[in-house]
Amino acid sequence: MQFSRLLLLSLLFTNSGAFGEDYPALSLEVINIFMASKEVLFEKQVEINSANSDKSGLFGQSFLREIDIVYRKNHGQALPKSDHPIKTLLYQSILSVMEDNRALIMDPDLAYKGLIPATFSFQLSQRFSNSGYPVKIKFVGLRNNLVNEANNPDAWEYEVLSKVAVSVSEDGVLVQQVTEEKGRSMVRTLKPIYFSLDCLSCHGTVSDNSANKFISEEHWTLINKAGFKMPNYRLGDLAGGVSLKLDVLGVQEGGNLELQ
Amino acid sequence: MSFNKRSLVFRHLVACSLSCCCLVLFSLKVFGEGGDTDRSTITIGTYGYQPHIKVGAGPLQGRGINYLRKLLESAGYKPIFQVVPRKRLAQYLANGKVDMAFPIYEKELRESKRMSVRPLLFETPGLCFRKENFIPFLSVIDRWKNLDIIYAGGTEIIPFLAKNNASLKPVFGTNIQDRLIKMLASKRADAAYVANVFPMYNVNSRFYKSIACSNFYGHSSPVYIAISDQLDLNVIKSLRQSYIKLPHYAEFELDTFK
Repeated sequence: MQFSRLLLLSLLFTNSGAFGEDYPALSLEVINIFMASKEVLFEKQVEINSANSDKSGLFGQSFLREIDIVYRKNHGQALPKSDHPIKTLLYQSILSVMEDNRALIMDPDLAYKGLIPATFSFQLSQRFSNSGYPVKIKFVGLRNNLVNEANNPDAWEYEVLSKVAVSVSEDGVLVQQVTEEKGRSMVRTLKPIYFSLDCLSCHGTVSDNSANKFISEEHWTLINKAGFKMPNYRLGDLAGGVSLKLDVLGVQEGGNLELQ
Repeated sequence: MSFNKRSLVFRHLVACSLSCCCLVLFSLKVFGEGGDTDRSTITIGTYGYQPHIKVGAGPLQGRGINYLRKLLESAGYKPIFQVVPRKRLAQYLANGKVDMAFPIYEKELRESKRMSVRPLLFETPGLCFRKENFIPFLSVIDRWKNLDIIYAGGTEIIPFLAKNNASLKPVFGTNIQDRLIKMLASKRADAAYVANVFPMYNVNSRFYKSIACSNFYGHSSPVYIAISDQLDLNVIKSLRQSYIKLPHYAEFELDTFK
């Protein structure tokens, strides 16, 4: 935890004004929107998997309004305005991902759609990061405990997660650092995620497994709804983090990049 | 003397009026020419690309067509859509036979330019199943590694699938999508691999009632609007400016997809 705070403070003191724009604050804002959208998707699981309910709240501006509610609850303020191309891109990516899943969400014949926070955030990170802007966001897991190999941390993320893992868990700690890659400044941000009760229905122990709901104990299965073995995590364990990498020069040249 | 003065003032007024008239006429001519420029046409090459571009007996339809029309009209150009065989679209664009093209993949771009570094949309490969056998998470390899999977012959298979399934069978013939779905429905195959899930599995697809598809996330390909490098730079600039001002495709006419 000390390590995290140290890095955060060192960055804020030395670099927040150095680029002419507060990229560390922007990075954090983007991560917070990303995480709020993921939370909404979790809250909407019943709606997503139902056969006949009104699903209009899962698309377009209605979905963004749901994210606004969660964001207000988490951060005490309204969902940030779309006043920077990166935020605009994120909002568009969220809408695109939900729209891409419309057929699945609306399908009345599937009792379990499999559109869960993990798959949603993976799709969202892919959509956002492959959109031509020099900003990448992804969920990173701990090595050897990955369900999706694409969530493998890079060297910086691995180092940060390793240090966070041995520190005292505290929800909300944040690591930010300016690194150099091929002579370019990168603002790196990693917000650790710890397992909450909600997460344990798929990531906890056999007794947490939502697939075992309403089933007598002798018939419990170790396999969760996603088809993976329950990994036995406990409340408060480190799950990984949301990592954002912002190429400062690339973002500053953003307008030109759009018109290449 | 006073008459001469009046005459001079009169002449001056007439001259001024004539100058003003000339100026007005000249302006009208200039703006008139501008108007002609605004009505210039741009040819867009495309092909049937469900559900974005629908090629039928009448005019082309679909959200992609509406979007491209809006884009061009807001830049002051009149779109002319030209249906081109899929395999020749990139060549048509490279030769300047069409000014713009959609859809174009990264490997097809060659010398032509992208409308924007941001792709208009993405294609994602996946597996389609009978609904009762739907597998929501393709990252669980054990669920599909032993299934009999069919695919349209000639389709590029992603390495992740090829590596983990030894029962991939190509299917050939016309109406290949229908054949794949018929084989699935009659249980002659467990799953069908498709290079792009979206046309097969969307709420307007004719297959929607019989199949459900899962995506191989992480294997998506970007799809662009491309511009011929032979198009005038000022035209390209104005198109790009309109593109930036237009709502992104993700938000454009969402209601039509409901």
